[in-house]
Amino acid sequence: MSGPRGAVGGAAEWEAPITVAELVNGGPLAGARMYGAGESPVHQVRIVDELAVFSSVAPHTAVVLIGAAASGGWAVEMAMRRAWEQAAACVIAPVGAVGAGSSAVLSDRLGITLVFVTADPLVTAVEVASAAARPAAARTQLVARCATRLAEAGASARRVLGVLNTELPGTSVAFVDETGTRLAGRAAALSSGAASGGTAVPASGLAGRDPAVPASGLGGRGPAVHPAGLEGRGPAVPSSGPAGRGPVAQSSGIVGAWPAEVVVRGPAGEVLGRLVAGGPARSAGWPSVVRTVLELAVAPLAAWAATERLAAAGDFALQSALAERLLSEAASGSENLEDAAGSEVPGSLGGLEASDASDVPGNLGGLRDSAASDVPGDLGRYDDPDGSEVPGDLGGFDGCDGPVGPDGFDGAEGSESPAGSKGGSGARLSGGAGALGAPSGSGRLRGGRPGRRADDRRAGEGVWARAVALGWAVRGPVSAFMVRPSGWTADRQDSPRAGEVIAATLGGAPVVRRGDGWAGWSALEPGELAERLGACLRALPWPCAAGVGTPVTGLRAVGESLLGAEAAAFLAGSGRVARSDRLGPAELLAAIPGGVLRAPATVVLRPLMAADREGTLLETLGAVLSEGGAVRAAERLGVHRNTVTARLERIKEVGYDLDDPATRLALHLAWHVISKG
Amino acid sequence: MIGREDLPVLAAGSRLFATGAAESSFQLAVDWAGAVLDTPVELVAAGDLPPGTLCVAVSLVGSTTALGEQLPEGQEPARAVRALERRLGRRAGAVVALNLAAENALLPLIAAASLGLPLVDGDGSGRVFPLVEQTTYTLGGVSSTPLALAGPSGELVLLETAPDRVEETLRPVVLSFGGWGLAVCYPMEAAELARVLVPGTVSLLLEAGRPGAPRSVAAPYGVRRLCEGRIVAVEGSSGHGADVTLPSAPSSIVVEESEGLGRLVRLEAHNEIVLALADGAAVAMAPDQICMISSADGVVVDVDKASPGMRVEVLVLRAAPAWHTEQGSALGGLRAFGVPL
Amino acid sequence: MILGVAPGRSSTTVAVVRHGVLAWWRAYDGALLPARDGESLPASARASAGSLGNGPAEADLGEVRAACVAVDLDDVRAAPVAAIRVGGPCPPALGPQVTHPRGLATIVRGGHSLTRRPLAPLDAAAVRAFAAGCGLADFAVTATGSPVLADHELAVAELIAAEVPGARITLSYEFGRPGLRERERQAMLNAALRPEAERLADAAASWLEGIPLYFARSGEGLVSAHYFRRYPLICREGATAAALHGAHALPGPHSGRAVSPGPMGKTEAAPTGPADRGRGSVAVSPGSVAGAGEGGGFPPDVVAAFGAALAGPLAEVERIVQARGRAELDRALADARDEALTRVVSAGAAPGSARIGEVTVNPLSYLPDGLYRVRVTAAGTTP
Repeated sequence: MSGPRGAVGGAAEWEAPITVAELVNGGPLAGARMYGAGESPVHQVRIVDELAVFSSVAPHTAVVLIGAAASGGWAVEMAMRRAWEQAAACVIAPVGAVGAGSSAVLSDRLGITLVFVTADPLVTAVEVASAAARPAAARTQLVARCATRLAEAGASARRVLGVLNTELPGTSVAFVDETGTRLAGRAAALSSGAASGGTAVPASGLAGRDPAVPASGLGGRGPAVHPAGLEGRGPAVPSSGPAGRGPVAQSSGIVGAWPAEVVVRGPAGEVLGRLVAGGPARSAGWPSVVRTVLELAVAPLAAWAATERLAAAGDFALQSALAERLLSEAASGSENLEDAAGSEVPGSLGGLEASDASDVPGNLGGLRDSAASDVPGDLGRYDDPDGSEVPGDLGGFDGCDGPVGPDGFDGAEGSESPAGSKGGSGARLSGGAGALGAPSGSGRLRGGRPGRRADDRRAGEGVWARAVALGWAVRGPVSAFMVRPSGWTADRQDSPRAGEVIAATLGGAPVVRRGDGWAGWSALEPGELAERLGACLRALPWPCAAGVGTPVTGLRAVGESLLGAEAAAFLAGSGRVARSDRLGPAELLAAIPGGVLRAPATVVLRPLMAADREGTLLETLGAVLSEGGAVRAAERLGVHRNTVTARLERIKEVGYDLDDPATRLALHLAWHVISKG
Repeated sequence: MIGREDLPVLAAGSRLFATGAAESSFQLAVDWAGAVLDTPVELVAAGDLPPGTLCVAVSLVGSTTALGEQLPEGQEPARAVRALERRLGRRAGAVVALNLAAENALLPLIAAASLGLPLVDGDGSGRVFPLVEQTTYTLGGVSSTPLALAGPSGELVLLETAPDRVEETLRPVVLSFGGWGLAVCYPMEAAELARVLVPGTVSLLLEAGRPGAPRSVAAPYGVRRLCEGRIVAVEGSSGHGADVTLPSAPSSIVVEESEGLGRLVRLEAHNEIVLALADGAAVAMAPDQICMISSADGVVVDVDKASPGMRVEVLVLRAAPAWHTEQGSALGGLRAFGVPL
Repeated sequence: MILGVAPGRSSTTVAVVRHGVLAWWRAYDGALLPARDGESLPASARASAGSLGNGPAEADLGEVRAACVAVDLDDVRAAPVAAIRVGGPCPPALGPQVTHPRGLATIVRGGHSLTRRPLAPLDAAAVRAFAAGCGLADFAVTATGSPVLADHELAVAELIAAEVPGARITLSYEFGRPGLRERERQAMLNAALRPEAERLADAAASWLEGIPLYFARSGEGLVSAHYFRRYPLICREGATAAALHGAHALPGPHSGRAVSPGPMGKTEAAPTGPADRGRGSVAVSPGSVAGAGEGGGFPPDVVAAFGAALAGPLAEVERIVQARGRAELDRALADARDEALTRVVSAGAAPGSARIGEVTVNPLSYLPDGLYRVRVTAAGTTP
């Protein structure tokens, strides 16, 4: 835990030069205000007190301005220009050297990252130099800190994701299920197309927005830097300055897989989901660091799943209630889902997201917040006050003028605190220090107007996440099943035991009381499901029958599948499993008490049976009606086609008009009844 | 000859590139000049004067705001010139300008008219510098002292000190006068003046001030347009709304170019604009003169009147060749304004 | 509901504005406007102006929150002014410029430098002698340095008041501008406008009895009638300014605001008073919304009346302050803010509504020891 992990990333990646963004995101410049993408690697540090020194500044140097070189806007701007000409990594200036507004614009134009620090620039220089000299050590420090924070977070998906998103600033982490649906964390993690699965929750509106890059405060210009996969930038034409406003052309130099992704397995080794980290990969080393940290989070997440499962396993009522909720909410659509979940599930993940977005000190937390919350349309205007979190602009918001300190962070994020446990809304509205995110806080809006955003399902993530923790299928094709007692009536007390056995044999499935039996659903393919249910029937202490419904596309349609499963279970004999997609006349007829039809069947067939002493005519009739034709009937009977034709002639002679559909149906039914005996 | 009828033209010409010209004081100077121009003033080339003629330079020292508030009693030019004459033991034979910006183009004319002396066609700057010793006269080795300073309440001070101490000694005196004084300085003979003068600049103003004349006529060594754009920020000198920052003498005006490359142009001002950066690269600096012209009305925008949202054209006037020597840029270049570049 | 009132030469236009929308307007026969220079208003006109009292007031008197008058004063009859300048001697060309044939001016010793240094003790005797002997009642006082220190102007005002009971005294520092001659010119102009401004305010007050009365400023905003009586100069181009704002807000090429869709003019809420004198006397017929061009084709007076009714009280303070360091400057700014707030309340703003608009601080060039020009505007709403 304290060193580079060869298993995760090559040592070379850990030794890759540290980038400006890494320095700001988790390194010695943590808390500094950064303008620009900070993708450039830092090879060394140079303290500059006069501009003349620039001529000897090497590429990839972090330039720390002091003295005359930091003596005002003009000095900083000239330094940025010279830094750009020398392909320096960044310019670090003391805060207050210049009004941030115009320098941010110039940073944007030149593509030179500008960092304002509050600490003594000389001290900063030493720390940056140390990190630049030993990048692996610097990264290891970050990993170690993450490990500590993860340990403190304990077994809670919400807190684990909170820690990941806080400690990996600039990178968005989400926990997604197997289909790529986000269960917790930030949508931004998926917005770069990172998730390999489909995204049922679209990260729409985020395309092209890089939440991690602060927008400049002036002129409404968007971030000039594109997310992910960018490193380095060639100086533009020095004589004329960079043309245009757009991002400077980049060359991709990122090593290693990005976005980072690790699989999270449940207690039984089954796949619970994946942790996906996205956003700009700001250095060759960053993906390795992120992957290492994600791996650190696997254990707490698995533990969380186990805890959830343990808590629910013995409690049929709880499981059942959860399953019922999922069913009804899935069926009734997203808005109700959101509403109900928001009011019932404590501290829904949506709230966490808003609050941990707002706690990033000195980083444009507000912007990130608004980007991550992908608030469409009219809510967008709430973004603006925060988006312009350039110092000085915050003056209008009482109590919001400054990076939120540790107190504010804990208040908003700490799920165990009373405020936090009410979800994002309560925490933000009441917490003064934590109020930075409030103007744009999606949590607040969600709390105030449930059901406002049609595409938002995150408020329900509490339910969904817990379902996943229990190993339940919540997305993609599912099939319903039904187990019902045959020949006896189940009692309320029987349910926990039935549920236990069913869940165990199916490998984690929701079980609810339904009719006179128990129903549920599973992602297993119908054949497999039927087979497991067979095992289940054998394991149950009572005689039961089971049915499997037709696979449907998702939980929303599971009701339809359940109808089939109920029918199939009803038709299946004791100890047997029937599939609704395989139901034929036999299964249907099986459902009809035999005695009822035997008399009429006999009446229908009596003339034939009288003429058919050997029984060949009856056998031939059955084969022809079942197979739909003489040729196949001949094959089935193992006789020549002419033989069948001859026998059919004899049947017709007895008086049956086989060309009449009604006669055929009556004969077919009667044949089934009689031949089944 | 410059008569009353030429006054509006000279006044217009003197404002084409002049900053720091408060409306009140300028109008005052025009009215004052109008009152004393009963007989026209003779405009002469320095070389046309008898070489031994004693010439004195006339300039306002201090604040134009103060001049507009505390009016001259009218005898300032005469008192100062007479004092210098007494000190030197010779009569002055001609008056010359220190520079030709706004009031400073008119005060030498007023002095010449009041004393019945000719006005030399030229000045000691070719542009405007804030300090008395920032002149081509100094560059040519002429001392600004002895210097006579007359104040509006009858004050008169004769200053004799090393030239590089003049400004320092003068400032508190000027303040004690109430904020302004009229200085008569750089006594020198016509032959010497002809050597150190930026010649012909008064004539140029008379030409450039005529209606319809292009502005560039007033720039003897050329003018170029740096950019046209909108002021997006004024840092350091003024505040709007609740958060007023303490004004400091240096201030910065940020102009966003509205055409071409859309560069960000920062104008660094220390009483006047001394440095222009385009995207961080120095594109103009003192001793050349940088000024903002309002796109709305074509009037020079004072540094302390600049405010975000204004559309301006930024022009750069090339300074006289004397300023582009090593000695010249030491005296009137960036470092003279406290910019360590 | 707010009334906009545009006094014309022969008629007076009243616009009823509800929630920023022009709801109704009408032109009444008769003039509120004082006479032009050199002409006297016909007695009949005055009389009819007085009888307008039954006009718009009766429509919805209880509802009317304020009446805002938009008037240009540039050609009203100017009164002869006695101007006193406090300062040193100067060339005659720079002395006080008396424009009225019966006007008088003098320069007395006194005043302060921009650095607050007294230039000379105030020559009180000279002030008294001039005031007693000039035979005029409208005074304009301008002291050197009054934007920094107004002591001598205030002292002169006391001396005048003692010598000339009932004198109308304008002090230049109220206009704030640095530049002695400009300030003096403004003070003299203001003093010259005051008698006619009082008459206009009286006429409007009696016609619109009981309704709080405001006047449109040149530029933007309103001041109370009380303020207008003392500082008519700041409303000198009130109608022009109001017309500009009104045209901007009316439908038209530059439309920003809708006119109430309901019927306009006499058909709806025609006042009963003027109707008694016959509709034929209405100088300008109430119009419809139809029409192109700026102001939507409304008569200019309607546009001005409408524009005036859209504004709120506004006042400004301009000073030169001396401050060494941040703390002193903050204190000076706080003083200027307080004064601006006080002024805007005095200009008719509801006390609770007064707020600071813009604060501008500029250091004065070449005066390195902490002199700043401070300008503060304050705005509010009508009660």
